[in-house]
Amino acid sequence: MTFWRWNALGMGTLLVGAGCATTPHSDQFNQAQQAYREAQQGVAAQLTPDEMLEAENLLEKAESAENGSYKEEQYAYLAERQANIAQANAAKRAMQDELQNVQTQREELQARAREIAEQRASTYQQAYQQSRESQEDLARQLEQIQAERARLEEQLGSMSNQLEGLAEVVREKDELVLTINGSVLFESNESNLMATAERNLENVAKVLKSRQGWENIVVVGHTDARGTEQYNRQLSEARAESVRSFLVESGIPADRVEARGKGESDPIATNATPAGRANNRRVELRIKDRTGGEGGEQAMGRGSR
Amino acid sequence: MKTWIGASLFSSALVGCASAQMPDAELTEAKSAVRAAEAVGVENAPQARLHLKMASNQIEEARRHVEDGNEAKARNALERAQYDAELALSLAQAQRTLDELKEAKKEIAELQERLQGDNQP
Repeated sequence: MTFWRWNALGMGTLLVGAGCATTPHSDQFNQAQQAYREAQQGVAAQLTPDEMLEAENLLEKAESAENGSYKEEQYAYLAERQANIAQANAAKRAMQDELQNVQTQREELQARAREIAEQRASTYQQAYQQSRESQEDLARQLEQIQAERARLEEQLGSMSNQLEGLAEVVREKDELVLTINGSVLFESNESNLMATAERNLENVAKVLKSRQGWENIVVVGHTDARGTEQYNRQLSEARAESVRSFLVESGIPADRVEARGKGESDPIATNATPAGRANNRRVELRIKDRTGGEGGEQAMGRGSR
Repeated sequence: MKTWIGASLFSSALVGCASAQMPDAELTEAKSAVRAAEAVGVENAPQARLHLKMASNQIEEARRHVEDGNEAKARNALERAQYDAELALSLAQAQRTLDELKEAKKEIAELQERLQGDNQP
């Protein structure tokens, strides 16, 4: 057997008679072979066959070179790199394929997320719009109510002023209630108005005439609990009628004033004390509002301040 | 990829000639392969960084061989440099693709979680 040996100077030297001693492959060669096998086991065989072929060629050249030679070393070095290149490129390609799928999936998910977000935005928008509208409605209603209340309070206030000392003015729901103490109008057991009473009632009539916006007036007479129920009822009725007549004579339309007697049935104070009984002896003028805003506006317009 | 080994080194021709010249074509190829790998970026790929270093080292080695007058060895060194640089490039690209893939998968997981969360009452 003869072996070619390549020395450091690059010259070929023929070794003769060296016997059958075989030099093993260099480490670099073994490494290259290992690298090639590894690459073969992976996807490189399918995905980067050309590059694998080149690695194989380099490995073959390394193999056919003399073991331990510079040539073997160089080819093996290159073969190892080439096998790794094939492997890395194959891995990259496989991942790129996966990446494409993943990107498609991502786009779909993003589209769906966008859809949902848009739907939600539109739902919120609608809900917000509706809430805004109902809020505006409520605000308008509130304004109207406040305006109406202001009107009524003003009415009450001004009437209170005008009738100060004579009648107490309070609001009960849709009625204005003027309460005149009985002793101002009538003497004991009498149902005819006192002279001084007429003067006072003139004021009341004036105030009532100047006000628009009321529907009707109910004059209600009340007594304390002394005496019989029947007597008290009759007395309170007669008194109410007296006040009514006076109002009509003063110009209040007759079809809008009524008179009733409630006797002792509606006390506003205790009947056990003189003071309480005095308070129960009273005449109420219950003035009912006109429904609807017209009267109110007219009242506002014409009300004296 | 061509290999030029067969041509030069293994002829028993010139020995130790002091006037060796740097093989320009091979040098250009090696350097351009190095640049390509650097362009992709090897910060996130240690193996790529390693082979890029080896490529640079071997370009230097080629210069030394030229100074020593050994053009053949210079060529071989440049060839190794080129392969190392190309491996560095492949590794860097594979790493980049892997990073992109991981990122995209993460985004999908987040999107799926978000969409599931939205569907719950």
